[in-house]
Amino acid sequence: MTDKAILEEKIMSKASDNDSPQENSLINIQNYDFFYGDKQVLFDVNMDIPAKQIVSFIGPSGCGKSTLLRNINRMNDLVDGVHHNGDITINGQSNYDPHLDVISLRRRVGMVFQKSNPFPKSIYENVVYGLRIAGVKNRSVLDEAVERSLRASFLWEEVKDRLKDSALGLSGGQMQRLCIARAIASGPEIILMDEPCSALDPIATLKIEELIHELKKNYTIVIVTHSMQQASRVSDKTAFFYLGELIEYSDTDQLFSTPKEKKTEDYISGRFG
Amino acid sequence: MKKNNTNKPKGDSWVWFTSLGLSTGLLMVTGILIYILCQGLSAFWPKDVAQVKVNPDSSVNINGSKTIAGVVVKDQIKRKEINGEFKDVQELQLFVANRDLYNLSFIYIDKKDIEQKKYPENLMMVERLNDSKAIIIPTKLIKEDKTEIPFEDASFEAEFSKLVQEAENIRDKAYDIQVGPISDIVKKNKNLVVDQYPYYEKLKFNNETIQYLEQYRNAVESLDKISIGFLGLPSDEQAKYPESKEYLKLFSEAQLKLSEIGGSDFKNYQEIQEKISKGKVEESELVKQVTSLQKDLNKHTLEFTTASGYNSKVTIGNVIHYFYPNRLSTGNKIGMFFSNAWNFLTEDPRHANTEGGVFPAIVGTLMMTILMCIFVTPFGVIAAIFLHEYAKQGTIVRMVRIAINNLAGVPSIVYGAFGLAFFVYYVGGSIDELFYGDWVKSGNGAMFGTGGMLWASLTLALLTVPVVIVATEEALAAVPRGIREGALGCGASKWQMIKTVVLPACAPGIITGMILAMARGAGEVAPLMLVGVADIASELPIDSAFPFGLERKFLHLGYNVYHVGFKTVDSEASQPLVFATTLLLISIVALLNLAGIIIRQRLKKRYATSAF
Ligand SMILES: Nc1ncnc2c1ncn2[C@@H]1O[C@H](COP(=O)(O)OP(=O)(O)OP(=O)(O)O)[C@@H](O)[C@H]1O
Ligand SMILES: [Mg+2]
Repeated sequence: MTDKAILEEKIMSKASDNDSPQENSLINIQNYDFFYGDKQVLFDVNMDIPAKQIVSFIGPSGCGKSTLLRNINRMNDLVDGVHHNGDITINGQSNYDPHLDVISLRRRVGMVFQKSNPFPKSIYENVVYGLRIAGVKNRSVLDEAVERSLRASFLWEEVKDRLKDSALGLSGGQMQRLCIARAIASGPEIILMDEPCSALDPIATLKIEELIHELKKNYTIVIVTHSMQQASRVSDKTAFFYLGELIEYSDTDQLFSTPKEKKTEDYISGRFG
Repeated sequence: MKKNNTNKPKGDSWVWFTSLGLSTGLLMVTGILIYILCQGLSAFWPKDVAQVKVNPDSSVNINGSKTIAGVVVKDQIKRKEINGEFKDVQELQLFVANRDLYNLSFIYIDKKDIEQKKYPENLMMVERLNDSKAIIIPTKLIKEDKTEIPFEDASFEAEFSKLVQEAENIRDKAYDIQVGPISDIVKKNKNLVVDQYPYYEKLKFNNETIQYLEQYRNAVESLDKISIGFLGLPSDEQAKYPESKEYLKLFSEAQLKLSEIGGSDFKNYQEIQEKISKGKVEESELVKQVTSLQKDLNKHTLEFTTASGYNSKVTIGNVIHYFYPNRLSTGNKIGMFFSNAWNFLTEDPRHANTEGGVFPAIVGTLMMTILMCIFVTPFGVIAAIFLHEYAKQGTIVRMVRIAINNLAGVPSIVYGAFGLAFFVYYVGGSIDELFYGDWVKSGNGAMFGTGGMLWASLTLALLTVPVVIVATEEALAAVPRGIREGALGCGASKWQMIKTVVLPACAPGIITGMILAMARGAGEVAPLMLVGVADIASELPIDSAFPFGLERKFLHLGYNVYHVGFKTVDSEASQPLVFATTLLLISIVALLNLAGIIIRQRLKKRYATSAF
């Protein structure tokens, strides 16, 4: 119930405080190992993700980008037989704190998936889904959240007259933007995006990139991408993974212009991948 | 040629093979359906009545008469032994009706023995209330005042039809009294008996009271035998029965003693007893009304003879429908076809279900099927959700799943036996003990501890639950992982995810399960015989007050087919009815399924999970 009250207040005050310092590390990953059963897929990952920045994960397929991303909101709990060493903390609180409420964690850390996955409901209901299940019933709060999120995801103008229509009638790019709207509707601090543009054409991709850029003002964004151009276009920092290890993590410009590691250089110059 | 062959993809011939299999199956099913359709519908088509005269040398006769009237139901070739030789003979099967007179319904005649065959216009087909159909030649109408109207008289037709109509009105009136006030009073009295029972128990505290209570009750019973509800009669009425003196004395003695010992308990007991007696008087008044109405029904009679020369008569009240089969034009026949079909759907059964309509059975079947769905769907869905979403997938769950699938192979009568033992005897018996103890002990019979609508639908729900579980599990498995993760990613708990996105997405699959369950359950008969179906039921299983008639036995179309078709004396004569009932049952199941399919289509449109 308190959760709900906080949510309502946040939305009504259109809040997302802008005043936290730039280099303040928000997500902190320490000595993190991760296993699917006996198979280790992440090896001793250490990284800090600062608030209000965009960080991309790049690396060849199967190197564990999605796995790490999905551990930031503990989405991998759904998989049987996983375990880990080390820790991930958000704002100093451990993700594996036994007192932590996974549901409120997921509410604070929104997620956008590779395949857009709108619910078979109306556009309106899709956007307010997170609020509704948090127990928000106040009509004006919901309306407000819908408009704000859809505007933020550049979708408002396109759908404002058909909010009651099924979300499944949207185009692929619109659906992905709707999913982003859904993720930001309940006011998260962090948005995780797992290859959000991989199923979209260049124009739709561009729109999403623009959107991501815009969202940076209010949110911390972690994005997994296979496109190095995209990483260099949108992100402030980039992390390169290889076979479950974090090889290099630095400012995007630096990583792409003067990579420190040989593997990074090979990868960004397309010599393997 | 050879080259051509090698160009053909291998296994092409299998296409033909599989399509052959399919078409054979379809052919068989449509064959049965068409057969049932023809037979069922022909039951309503009025048929001509032939009057044949048989060769005097033939052995065929009805009590010596060689003239026989009847409806030709079959015209077939039969192999018969004649003087040691086998020959194919063309043979007619005639439905001669008048079972009460002839003691048979059908007669077989070799075609070559028929000397003459005509269709006299004066033959009348009569459907009777208390007897089988009759094919008669009316002679005269004898009215209450002994005036006679011969059949040949011009006014016969008008007069007869007026009297039949009047009789119908009277029957309706009597029926209204029976299902209205009489049944109300009977129910009220039953409840009074129940209310009275606890005082009876309380009063039985020593031998003396037991003895006097016995005396009291015996006296009441004996007085009731003299005149029903005797104690409720006014005293001048009571005085008309001198034989009551002796019992009245016993009664007063017991009453005096009991009021000395019993105090307020007896006072209450006595008060209720008075109400019961009054109720009985009221009831008997109403019954008297009905009887006098029924007497009115028998005022007028129709005398008739039959083609085979039997003379007999029928009271007008016994005539439900009548018509002259050989006078009907095609237009008339079409009209009669529809009115027969309508009567079949809307009338109550008569003559041990072998005549009349099946309205109560339609209501029973529909109610049972719908109740079954109401029970089975949530139950199956919850079970499937647990199995698929919550249970840890492993050997145990796999075994449970196999067991559920195998449940479908258990003979349905086993479910009936289980339902009888568990629902009727155990659950019903316990309910009776807990809540209806006084009802049962006061001699009103079991309430829930006997077969009824509720137990029948629960038993069938049990029988069909595997179907729903399997269908729902399939639907759950088909929900894309993407939308599950989407929901969880928005901060939904597992249950919220299931409730808000998974279940709506599987609604069409759940409805499919419901449709399959319905198809299986509606036609099931064997278990019903143990847990709730009735041969003859006077009341519909619907009540406005608790328990809403759910405890009552009911008629069921499927059981009707079995009962009328195989368990009645004259089952062959009611064969058309059996076909019509079968057709109706199939149509009802088809309609219910259709409704399910339409709902599913709607849901599919709404929840179609797009191909992302
Ligand atoms: N549910 C799972 N169970 C077992 N192993 C898994 C599971 N999911 C992923 N893996 C394995 O973990 C490793 C990392 O997978 P992950 O999905 O994180 O890679 P990725 O970097 O996101 O690759 P891609 O770029 O192709 O999406 C892979 O070797 C993969 O096979
Ligand atoms: Mg991935």
